[in-house]
Amino acid sequence: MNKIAESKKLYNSIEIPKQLNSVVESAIERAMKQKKSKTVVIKPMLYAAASVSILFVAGVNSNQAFAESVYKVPVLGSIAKVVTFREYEEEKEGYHLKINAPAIEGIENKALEKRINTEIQAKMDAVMKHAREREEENKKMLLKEGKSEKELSYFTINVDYEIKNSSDRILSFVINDTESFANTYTYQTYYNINLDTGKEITITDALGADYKKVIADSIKEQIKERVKEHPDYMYYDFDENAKYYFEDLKFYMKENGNVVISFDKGEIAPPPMGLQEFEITK
Amino acid sequence: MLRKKDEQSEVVKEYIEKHQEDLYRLAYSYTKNSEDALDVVQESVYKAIVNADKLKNIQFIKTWMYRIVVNESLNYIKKQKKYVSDDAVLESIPYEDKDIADSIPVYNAVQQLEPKLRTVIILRFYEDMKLEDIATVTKSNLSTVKTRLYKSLKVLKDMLGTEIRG
Repeated sequence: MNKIAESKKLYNSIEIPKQLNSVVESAIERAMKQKKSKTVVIKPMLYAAASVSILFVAGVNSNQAFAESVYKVPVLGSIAKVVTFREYEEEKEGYHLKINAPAIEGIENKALEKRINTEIQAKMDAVMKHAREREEENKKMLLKEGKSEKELSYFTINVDYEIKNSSDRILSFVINDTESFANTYTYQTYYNINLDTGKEITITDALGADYKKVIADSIKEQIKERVKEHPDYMYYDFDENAKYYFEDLKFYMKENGNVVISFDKGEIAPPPMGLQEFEITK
Repeated sequence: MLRKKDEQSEVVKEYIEKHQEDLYRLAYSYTKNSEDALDVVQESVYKAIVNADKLKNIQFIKTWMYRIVVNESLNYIKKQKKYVSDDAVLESIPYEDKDIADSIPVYNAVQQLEPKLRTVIILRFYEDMKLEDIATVTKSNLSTVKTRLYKSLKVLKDMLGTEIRG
């Protein structure tokens, strides 16, 4: 006699809920759809149908080089670091989008950490939304011009980040949003955190109240030198009173303590000159 | 190639539809409540269809499918991190059948086994699986399955204060 085998009757009498069948069917349907969309990506010649491939890795991959450089330093406070928070890829008819978004952790000022991480998230969402809207617009334009969707132009967006400074006192990193269509543009967003105070570093913190003059003097001088060395270089006039230069000043703190001002393509020089950086020596 | 893959997911789909109650019972014996058991089944079904082409040999569909459900169930337990109490398990069972009434303590004891041991007992005695197949489902080797089986029987014997197999 086998008592366990006998108790099988009880196992078999586990009540089957009415919803079971519909739960199973909807899971099957969802999976079948998923499989179909996968097949479309593998066969890109099916350009008529929009193909979406989504890769979402929520894991936290710490930046090795940065982590090593931080751990080497005997840090007394918390260990602040920039980690890859979100990897995302999207392939559509009209564009290819790749995002490698960072997040910060270990900042003692949790409110600041949260604010910056939320801000990065929002920025990434905006990039994605913008890409979709742009594809729509491109399509509409084609139809307006009486062309077929096969002629849809393709653009790529690549978002990545770079750590500029990772000392035990300062954390500087940039998020580069590179968009290529007919031309390539990179939109930079910088974050500079003072780990001692747990605050974001403002340009006034870094260069003092008369930062505009300091920056303008230094940049004007550097432009002169650069043009002298490379006569084919060209820059727009830089003036401390030119408001738009200072509205969204992008900078990071170099490890030697200097501030580096960075301009997007076309901001301070004609677009072919690309991104422009100026180190402000104290 | 594409056609073969599609056929494969059709076979998996048919198997699931036919055996959904077995899959549910298996999940339920881990989750101990129907809502979570449905979740486990739903997730398992989804994974099975999406990965249907990874099933190398269609003959192994049962062990393959059970492995997915067992894995999902164990994941569920890990996430829950709490041991679900078994109090409500037997409430809806009719007691007229004397054999069944006698089996209740045994059944309850099985439910109290640690998940890995319980898996072996459920598959062996409730699903009538061969030890080799249980090894496949649990991704372990035959001797591990045997060890777990003997250990389970010993634990059950201790719990019930009597010999399980006469």
